[in-house]
Amino acid sequence: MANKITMKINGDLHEAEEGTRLLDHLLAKGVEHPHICYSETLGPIQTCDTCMCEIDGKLMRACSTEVKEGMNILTSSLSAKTAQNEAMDRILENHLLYCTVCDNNNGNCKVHNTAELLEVEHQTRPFREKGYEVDMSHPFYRYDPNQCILCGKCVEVCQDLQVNETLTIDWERNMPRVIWDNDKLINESSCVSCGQCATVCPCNALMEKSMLGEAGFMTGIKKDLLNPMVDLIKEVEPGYSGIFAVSEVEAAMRETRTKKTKTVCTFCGVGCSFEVWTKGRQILKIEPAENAPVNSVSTCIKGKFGWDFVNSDQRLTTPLIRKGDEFVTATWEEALSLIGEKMSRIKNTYGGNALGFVSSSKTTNEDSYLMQKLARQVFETNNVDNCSRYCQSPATDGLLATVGYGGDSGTIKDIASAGLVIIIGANPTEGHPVLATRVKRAKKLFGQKLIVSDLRRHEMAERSDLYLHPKQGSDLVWLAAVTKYIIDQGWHDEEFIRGRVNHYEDYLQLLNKYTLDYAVEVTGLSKEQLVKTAEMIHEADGTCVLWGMGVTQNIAGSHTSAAIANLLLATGNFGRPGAGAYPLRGHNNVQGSCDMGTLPQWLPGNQRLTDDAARAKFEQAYGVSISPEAGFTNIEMLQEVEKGNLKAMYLMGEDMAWVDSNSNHVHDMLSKLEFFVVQDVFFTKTAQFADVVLPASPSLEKDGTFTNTERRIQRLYQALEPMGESKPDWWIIQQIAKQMGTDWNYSHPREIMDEIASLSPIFSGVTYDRLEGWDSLVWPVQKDGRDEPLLYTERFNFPDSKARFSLAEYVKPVDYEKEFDLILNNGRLLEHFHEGNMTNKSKGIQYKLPEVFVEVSPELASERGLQDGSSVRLISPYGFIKLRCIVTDRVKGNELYVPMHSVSHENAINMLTGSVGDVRTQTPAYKQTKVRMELVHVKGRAPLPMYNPRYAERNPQAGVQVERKWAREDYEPIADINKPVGGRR
Amino acid sequence: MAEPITKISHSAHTEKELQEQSIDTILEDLAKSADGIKELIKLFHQLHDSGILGAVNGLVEAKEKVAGIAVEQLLRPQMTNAINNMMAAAGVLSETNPDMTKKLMGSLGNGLQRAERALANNEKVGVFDLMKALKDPDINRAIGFGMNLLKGVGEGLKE
Repeated sequence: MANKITMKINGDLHEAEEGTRLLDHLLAKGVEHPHICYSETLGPIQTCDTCMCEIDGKLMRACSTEVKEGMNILTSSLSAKTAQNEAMDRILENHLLYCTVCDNNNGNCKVHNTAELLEVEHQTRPFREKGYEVDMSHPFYRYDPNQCILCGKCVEVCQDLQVNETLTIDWERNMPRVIWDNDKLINESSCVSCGQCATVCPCNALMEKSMLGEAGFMTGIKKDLLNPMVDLIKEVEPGYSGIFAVSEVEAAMRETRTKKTKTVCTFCGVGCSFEVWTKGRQILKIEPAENAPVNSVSTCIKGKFGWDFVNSDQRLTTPLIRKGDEFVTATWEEALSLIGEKMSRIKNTYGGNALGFVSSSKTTNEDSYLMQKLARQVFETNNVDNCSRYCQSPATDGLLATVGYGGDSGTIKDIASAGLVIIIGANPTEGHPVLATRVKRAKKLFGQKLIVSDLRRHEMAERSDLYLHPKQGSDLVWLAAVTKYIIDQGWHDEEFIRGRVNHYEDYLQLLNKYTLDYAVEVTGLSKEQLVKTAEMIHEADGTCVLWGMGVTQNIAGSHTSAAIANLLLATGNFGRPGAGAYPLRGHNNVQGSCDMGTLPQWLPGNQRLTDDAARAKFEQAYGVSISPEAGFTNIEMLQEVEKGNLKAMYLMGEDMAWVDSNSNHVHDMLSKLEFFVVQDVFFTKTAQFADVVLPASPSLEKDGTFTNTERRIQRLYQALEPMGESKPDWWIIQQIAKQMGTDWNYSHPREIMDEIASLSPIFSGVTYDRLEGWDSLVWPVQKDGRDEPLLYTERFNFPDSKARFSLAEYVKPVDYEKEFDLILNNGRLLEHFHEGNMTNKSKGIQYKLPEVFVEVSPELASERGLQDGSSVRLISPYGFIKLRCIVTDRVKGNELYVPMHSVSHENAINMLTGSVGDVRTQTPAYKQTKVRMELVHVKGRAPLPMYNPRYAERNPQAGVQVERKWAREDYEPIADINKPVGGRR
Repeated sequence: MAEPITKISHSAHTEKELQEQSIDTILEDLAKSADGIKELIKLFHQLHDSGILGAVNGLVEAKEKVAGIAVEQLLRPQMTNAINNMMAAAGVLSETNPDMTKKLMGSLGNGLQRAERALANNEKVGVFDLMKALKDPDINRAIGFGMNLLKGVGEGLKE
């Protein structure tokens, strides 16, 4: 705890912690004080000069001044006021106040509100344009230099929070402005469309295009009418208080029309929350807020701009029933009674185990809970699984075997504060963009170290201190070897191990063969790289390991996940801040759908099906007996279809036909089902095989909760009415249960969560009231509401409270015939989500990244005569696809990379992947795919447009660099003290 | 065997049912506010019969043009002067004690009434009448008020 100090503010005695920023203190005490460029997230960037105070006789900024004992602070003395007004006058020289006809007049415009607070009536420096064109080039946002007040918040977020390093202010030119890269059009720059600049802009200089002409009542007016109106206001020259009064009336009118709803993003597992602003069904913009627990003001292209799919005309809006060779639209009554009739008949004829239920990692916890309840209570089967089977089950398995909870050890704050971050087989700048920003920021600003192990030299690899490129599927070996080396050097945490971990001796035994030499031989890494890795872990104050599909989608992904936990256990990197194991969940509710027991061997609340007491509790609640025998996984369900044992499936929110591996095989199996119900937002490939298709509502149209990769439970609120006849998933599942004669009678998801909490100790304190607004809970949650952001501080989740070293061995990758000579890596790109059903409805995203392609290395390109745009056929033992090439050094040698965002037979990656899966969880080994390549055409159009940011070069610098502003000849200092502090640094 | 199919045909009866459903909800809403709706219909009739509705429609259809003309008109120097005058006047008025204004306006009305009566009687006023009038306390009060008013204006003009 810092020392308390006393100071005088405007004559009153105030107490505060030493080192508190004066502005933070004033705001906390409810003292209104002008400020524009400051925010808690970005810290004092000192560009606007409006927060001047008189402190012990000197003019100083409230934002950058830390309070000290005995300070005498005057916030509105004559000299402070004069300074504040002078600063505002300089700002208004750069910004025309046409508030009433401005789309940013929504009550939260910082420039407007500050000018009003300062009671500005007139300005001494008249407004003048800067002489630059408005940049409208980018599909999602625009920059109007003539409205830009040069506060540099956009630069600060781009450089130091998002750390994409595109924006700077060119302070030295005659008329400074924000520039993209070396003064390029926005669309042609390295901008990755995260939208954070538009989010933090305190005025209308940077605006989401979706707002333009839409947010206000009079902002839709065309230029040739708008300009004279603005001129009129200028001619008439009323005092600004008059203008503000009118604009405030208009803002108040907007309040009645613009609906602002808190929601949680569905495009990855990070769990960003923000408000969505809507006008009727139209989405005006996504508005992040600093109090969002995970992301604060951060977003990525998808979260900020990727919501067009919600209003797509391709949405399913009525139930469909298969009749002959076509689907016919139907009423809910018809669809539900057909489902009830068919599924009852199958249950009565073959028993409940002839049916399979597949939940989604994109639906809410409440939706998922009901899916397993439908399976277990109404159909009395454990044949329920969810689509995390395709991605994250091995990570969960590895953690359950070692530390006891299948989830991240801590939160994004631990990742940000770790001394060392190791990323294995994951590409967070594209797959988990906002989480990646925190690592990039920690590295850039606070000296965090970074090791990346990946086949592909992606952005994080580029930024890493040490980049490892092991042979495909060999991570376990280097992890074990590094752990052994650490123990051999005596760098391990013996006390931690002896006190808190079982099987140490056996583990040492197992490690014997994982020598550095053996690792060099198997992984292809050098001894120096392995030693360096060990040293960096040894030297780091806390190590976090982040991993993804590059680990899990292998034949022994669960073993490798356990090996990661072993390394962290051996070095004492569990149960302390800034350390731990972080499997990066790929979808918004991977964690939640598993927590909700949509798994064949788990009950809700991560209670084992084999736990008699837990089962008894559910048996009593559901009034049926529940078998302790595990049901079928997704993979087994299809196998059982082939054997004729599984007759019907009910699948929710997953395009299994494209997402499961070996698509041809999956398509065959789906067409063999006797009865198949698919519930989705769109008419997917999977839906084409269905007998009944049910229209579901996406997240913006329903209430519920998601659990992110941190184990954080967050509420989402309904922003829009369900489109057409589509319905929230929980409603649909409840209707099906009702058809089967079980009336649950839930009227709101809140009641479902109450039931979950009553049956699951780890959720016992979860209530909707505790999740109001931005509030969230990180499970396990005690009855009194205490949650546990950081796990294992006292105990590991086993009866004896001790962790266990995993004794799992390395399993060699799948063998292929020699003709398949190229390793086919596959995964995500930033712009799209999953197979693309949602993001391919966004015009702007399609424009930036229109099609999938294959990345080939320069070596392979020269060997096979390939160039950008060449089309090739890739052939695996399971199928073939055709794609255009991009030659890039992101990939190496005979390794290829194909993004997964395709729903076309032409080029969907899973036409190539095989059916072999993880030895413990059956998760398909997508990453262990080999192909041969045939050249179709050498010449062709490059598949990636030149205005995709991947072609541009970043322009890193430390923040906005206000000292360059101060160095200008025409800058007359207002403050007596000008010392750069560079945001949070 | 369920072959994948992509053809979706819109069942006439579901379409019809959907339509009926939405009509039903509208009818429900209408029934709930029947009285108001009846009045509204009456108003519409009157607006239509008088031609007002047509005129308003035309105005709304041409809204951008009309607004353009209006703003152009407003931008003429005479108009901006007038607006500035009005705003300046409004500013002064807002500084004046409303009680006094009320008294003054009342007195003015009273004066006008008397003056009107005198005018109707065709009364002639001589120099002697003027002298006599000065001694009348009411007239004296008004002249005093006027002289002080003039002094205030004069002071204001000096600044």
